[in-house]
Amino acid sequence: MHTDDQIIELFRAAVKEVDGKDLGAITRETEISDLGLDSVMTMEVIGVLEEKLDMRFPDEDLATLKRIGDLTTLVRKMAA
Amino acid sequence: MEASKTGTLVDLLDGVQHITDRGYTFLSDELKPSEWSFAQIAEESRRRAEKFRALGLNKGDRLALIIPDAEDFVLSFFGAVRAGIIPVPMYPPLALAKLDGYIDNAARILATGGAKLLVTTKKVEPILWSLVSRVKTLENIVLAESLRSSRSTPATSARSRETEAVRTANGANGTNGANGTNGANGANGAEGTTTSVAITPDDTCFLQFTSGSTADPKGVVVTHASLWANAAAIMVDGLKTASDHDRGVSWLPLYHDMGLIGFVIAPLRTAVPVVFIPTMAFVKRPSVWMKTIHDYRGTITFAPNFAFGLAAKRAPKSADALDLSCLRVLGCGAEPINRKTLDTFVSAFQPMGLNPNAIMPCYGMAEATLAITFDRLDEPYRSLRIDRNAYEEEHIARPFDGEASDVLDLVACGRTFPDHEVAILDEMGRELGEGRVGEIVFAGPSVTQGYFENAAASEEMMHGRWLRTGDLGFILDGDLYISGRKKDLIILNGRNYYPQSIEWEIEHIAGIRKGNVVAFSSRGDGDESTEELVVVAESKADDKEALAQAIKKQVKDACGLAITHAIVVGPGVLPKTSSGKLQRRRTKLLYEAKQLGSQGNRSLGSAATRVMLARHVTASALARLRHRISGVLPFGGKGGASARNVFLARRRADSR
Repeated sequence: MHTDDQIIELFRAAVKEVDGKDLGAITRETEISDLGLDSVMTMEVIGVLEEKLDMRFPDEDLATLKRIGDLTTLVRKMAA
Repeated sequence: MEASKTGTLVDLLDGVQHITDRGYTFLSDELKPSEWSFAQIAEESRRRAEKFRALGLNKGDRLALIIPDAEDFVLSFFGAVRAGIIPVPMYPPLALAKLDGYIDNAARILATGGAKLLVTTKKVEPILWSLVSRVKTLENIVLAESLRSSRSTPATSARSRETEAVRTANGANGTNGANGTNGANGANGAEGTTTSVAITPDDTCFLQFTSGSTADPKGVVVTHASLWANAAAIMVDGLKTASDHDRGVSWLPLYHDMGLIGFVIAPLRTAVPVVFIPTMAFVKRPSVWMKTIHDYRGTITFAPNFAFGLAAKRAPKSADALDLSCLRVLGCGAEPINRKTLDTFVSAFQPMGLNPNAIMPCYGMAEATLAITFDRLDEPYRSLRIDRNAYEEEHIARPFDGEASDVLDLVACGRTFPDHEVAILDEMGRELGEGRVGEIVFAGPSVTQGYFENAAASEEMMHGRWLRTGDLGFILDGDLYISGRKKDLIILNGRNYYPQSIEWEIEHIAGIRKGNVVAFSSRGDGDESTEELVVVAESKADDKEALAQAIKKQVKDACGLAITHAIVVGPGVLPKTSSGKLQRRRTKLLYEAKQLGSQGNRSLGSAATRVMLARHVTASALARLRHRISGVLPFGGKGGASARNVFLARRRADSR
């Protein structure tokens, strides 16, 4: 079971892996679309995160992800 | 069969119906295979044809397909075609995409195509029900899961079959009940029970909606005859395929011509087996593409330029990880081809046995069914460096080896197929000679009949016997080169510039989001006679002014052009098509209306999204309820209940 902070750190590592860049400060309120990733990159980050967490997000849940907080909520819901 | 000059997709299915040792393999998200031999596919197409007929569909009716899963899509598609029903493949709602815009576009496509029934999947269905009340012709939604058979085959992964059996228990029972007179799965009964519908080569096989123009969608009429001709061009003349050693691998979406015709329909022509990777699996984990080719010893694959860049970036670190020596054709098409991307791809995978000669640039579009030209097999891809000034001022392609800023580097797309012709026309419709730049035109049996119920657009599409591609290019030494879209051309002081060549220069600047740059010319505010060069780029950088200056300098240095306005906007501002392609014309219109960025980002804020999603689900549920209680159950009690269940060839439409 991961805490929000741990999930955010995994997300940060996934962005680093995909885009090679370090994200600045991000919180639960940060909008994923503001991170400077295009749509393909965003899905790639999701893919890397899935591997790190060893889970697979359903497509229909991904359609509702906007903020980092939505992502952490989804991860905790799926791990529960 | 091979010798026939024409035929139908049903003939192609019949032609493979005795082949039991190979067929199509559909991989799950976890890359677990579900195998269907050609014989099983042909049999399943008969069963689904019966199902569609039982749902009240007749020859010529349009059936919309919004099915993300390749297995359900392919089997439903073939079933419809065998019954003479015209499938209308549509893209599913994309992850993290705007749902409002999606529903609007879907409604327009359904209305234009006059779809009577929509097949979708359980996952997508909840948001689609509002379409039934919005689209006059649309009578009902059917779940793809309810169309599945409860077949069990030794070749199939037992686990996935079990899950499916549980999931579709209701649907499957309904099926057996409905088709009770003859076994749904009986090989003996299948042929006999199918009320044969006469299908001729001139009949419409399906409608291919192009991705670009969303306000006014146009459905390309794909006939059996044009499919037959293009499938022969691709599989026989172009790829020289052989059933016993070739194997296709594709992650391409099936609502798109390159995925559907290239990997679902054409392979039947020479009975080449194909492995399908879910598109989302590739986008999430680009390494699965080459990995699957390695695992299944794939010999043929196709993708647009961007995918080559993505795959190279995700190449395994160790050269031992993959053996790609099996790959003999790696087609690149569907969007402008960048020589540098191909070079990067080759350097990444050559250590893993990739034969550089496997890379095959190609050109095509939905209006040509699919393929127009292929580069030669087993030869290195080539690009031609031409004099930028001569191209822009005199519209001539003159080989030139000067400074990068004076050169256009274009990749050769090869030549067309037997019985087909490619030519270059000037503005007056006169044929131009070698090396002269004009509009690319195409003629031959692969050319579409036109757009569905749109005489004006169909007429505009043709110049005599020629299909006007809307693309600019030239022919040199027999090879076709594509230099840009006619309507995207930037004309400054009487000189023509190709927007991509400007955009590619800007993408190199640090801080600019790759693939999120648009260049266009616009009439200035004051003096009506001057055209301004405008560039809009996305960046998340804070100092947007410094970046704008960097853009101006880069374009000045690389192309010798002075930008009038360089505008740097935040991520998500540039308008894109449903398939993620930049919309130049729309950007220009927004710019001229001074609305660029003012209508917010492509993606909505989180709260707004939730409200919107809730609204769609509610609207959807209400529409469904209305549909139920108003007694509009066109398919009868029992049938209705079980039926209650969803980037390639360049586009003619306005995509880039």
